Amino acid sequence: MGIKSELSHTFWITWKDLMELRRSKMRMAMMVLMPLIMMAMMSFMFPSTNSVSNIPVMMVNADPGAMGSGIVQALEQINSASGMMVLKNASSEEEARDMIVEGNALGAIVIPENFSQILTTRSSTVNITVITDNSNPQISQMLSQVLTQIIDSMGERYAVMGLEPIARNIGVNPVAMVVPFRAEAKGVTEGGSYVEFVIPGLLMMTMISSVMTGLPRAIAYEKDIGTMNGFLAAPISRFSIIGGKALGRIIRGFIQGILSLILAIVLFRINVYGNLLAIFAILFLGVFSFVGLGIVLTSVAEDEETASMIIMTLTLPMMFLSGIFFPIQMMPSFMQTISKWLPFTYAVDAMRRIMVFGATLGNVYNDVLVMLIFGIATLIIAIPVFERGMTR
Amino acid sequence: MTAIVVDGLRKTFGKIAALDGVTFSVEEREIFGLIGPNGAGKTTTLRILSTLLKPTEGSVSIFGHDVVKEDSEVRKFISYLPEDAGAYKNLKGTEYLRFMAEFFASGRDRESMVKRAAELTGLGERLNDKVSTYSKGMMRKLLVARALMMRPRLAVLDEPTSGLDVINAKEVRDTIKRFAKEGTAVLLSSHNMLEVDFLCDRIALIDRGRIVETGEPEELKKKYGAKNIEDVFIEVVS
Repeated sequence: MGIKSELSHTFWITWKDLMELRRSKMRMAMMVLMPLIMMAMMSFMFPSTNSVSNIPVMMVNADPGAMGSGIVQALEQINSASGMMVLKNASSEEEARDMIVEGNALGAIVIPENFSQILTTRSSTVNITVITDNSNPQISQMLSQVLTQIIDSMGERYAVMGLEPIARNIGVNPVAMVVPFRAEAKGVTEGGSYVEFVIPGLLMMTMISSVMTGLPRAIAYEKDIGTMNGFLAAPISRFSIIGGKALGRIIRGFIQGILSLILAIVLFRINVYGNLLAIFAILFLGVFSFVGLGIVLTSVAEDEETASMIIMTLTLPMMFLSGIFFPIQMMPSFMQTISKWLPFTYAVDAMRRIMVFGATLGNVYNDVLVMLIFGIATLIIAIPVFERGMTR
Repeated sequence: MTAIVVDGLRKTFGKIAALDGVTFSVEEREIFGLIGPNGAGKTTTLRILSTLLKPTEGSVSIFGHDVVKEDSEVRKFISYLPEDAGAYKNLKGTEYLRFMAEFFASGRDRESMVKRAAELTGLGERLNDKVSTYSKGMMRKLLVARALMMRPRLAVLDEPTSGLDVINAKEVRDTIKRFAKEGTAVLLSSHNMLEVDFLCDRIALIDRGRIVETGEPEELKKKYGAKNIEDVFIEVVS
């Protein structure tokens, strides 16, 4: 069988698979809906300072003086702009704690009794206590961070006001006296929301799972409907069968990938700094690196149910360990070691660097190299495994 | 030329021996039936001949080509119809035939193959409908046509009339006879003893992975003083 006829058979099988897809309205609809739902879920589900709103917070002002009321007013003013909290009054710290324990509030701000008195005499530093519901770690962490920042900056402003007359006399800036230096943190590029973190990984996942999960399912489908044996007994090379199937899945994945990218840019307004050609190249490379593994799974799975079980067992941990949803650095060290052995990690890393930093293929050559080596090595193993798997 | 030579064929799945020394041969233009109960080894034999399974021991050659060493060559002139065969439900009948024909011919040859298959199905305009709308019988006729459209030198048919009513089954049997006359050797398996009697030039009775009797249906009936092949089979097995 010549290469020309093998290629022609490969494309013919791909055409058939795509034609079947086009004829199934449900499958076509799911192709569009799946990335949309996935992206919407990821964009809206995870909390960020900008997206969190209506957190019930108890306000305890035990200070009879004017300073406590001033702080409450300032906090209400700041909150009215963001809508992050719903501030309710409580008479004591105990009542506020009870409200948190009963689940009626997620935090409390407590201004102590002697607040105005200490501020006026400046005899010592006085604390405004922020209590949070630590059974809800994400919100607790966010709330204490935001409130500490707001209250600290109010304290600084108050200090500046107190120093103003002295500073004027000696001719210096009172702000520079209170805060002589600050840290200014910024990213390599602007942006950096969770959506921007997660979308490159989701894109890779869409493409790669089209081969990893799609290929074994496509072959299992042929076996289940009774077309596979007719195929295998026909003068078609095994390469054409698996190549045609893989190409069909790659095209489907690529369409889904492009759709996801368009949706991410249009609906979720993510910034893409990288070159589109580099993005496409990484998408294809990512898929290529997983074709071999997809073929091995295909050869092992006897039917669609087995295929699904193997796929779930392999892909689920791989998705979480490769840093799509959480940074790898946040994982325990043994998991970080596992993640370094997963080629998916490198695919996600390359895509993220290109999309978020505008990196070139040269900048991510390490990732490219790992994907290429893994892709070639698994393909070398996969073809004979497939041959053997189909003729037992 | 002898179409099929099977010699000492053994196939084991773990500790179970599905075939235990099967030997038979089929001549060109001959319709040869492999008859036996469920689990006797009929489908395993047909699958080995169709290059889908590798034998554990023994040899099979088709028109002089070994099915293991020259499997690609063998696939060029055989056609296999599995008992549980199906077609793509989202394709139209003609599209399915054209899809399969592409692997055997191209251009004008392919189109004449599709035309031949369309006639063989007898489905007429319904070939322009999606396969998902076909009845079980229509589906089987489509698949039989797919198996014969390329005029294979050897057609391996597993229960070719399975699921067909009397009239459709007779049509399919007539088609198989016609193809054999035109030069195709046919190896088929069947549970239907009447069909075997009508269709096959020679038969082999297979039981528990062994060929227990071979011969022409009339000759076997005479040998065992039986009225039909069913009685022959019961006599031989008991």
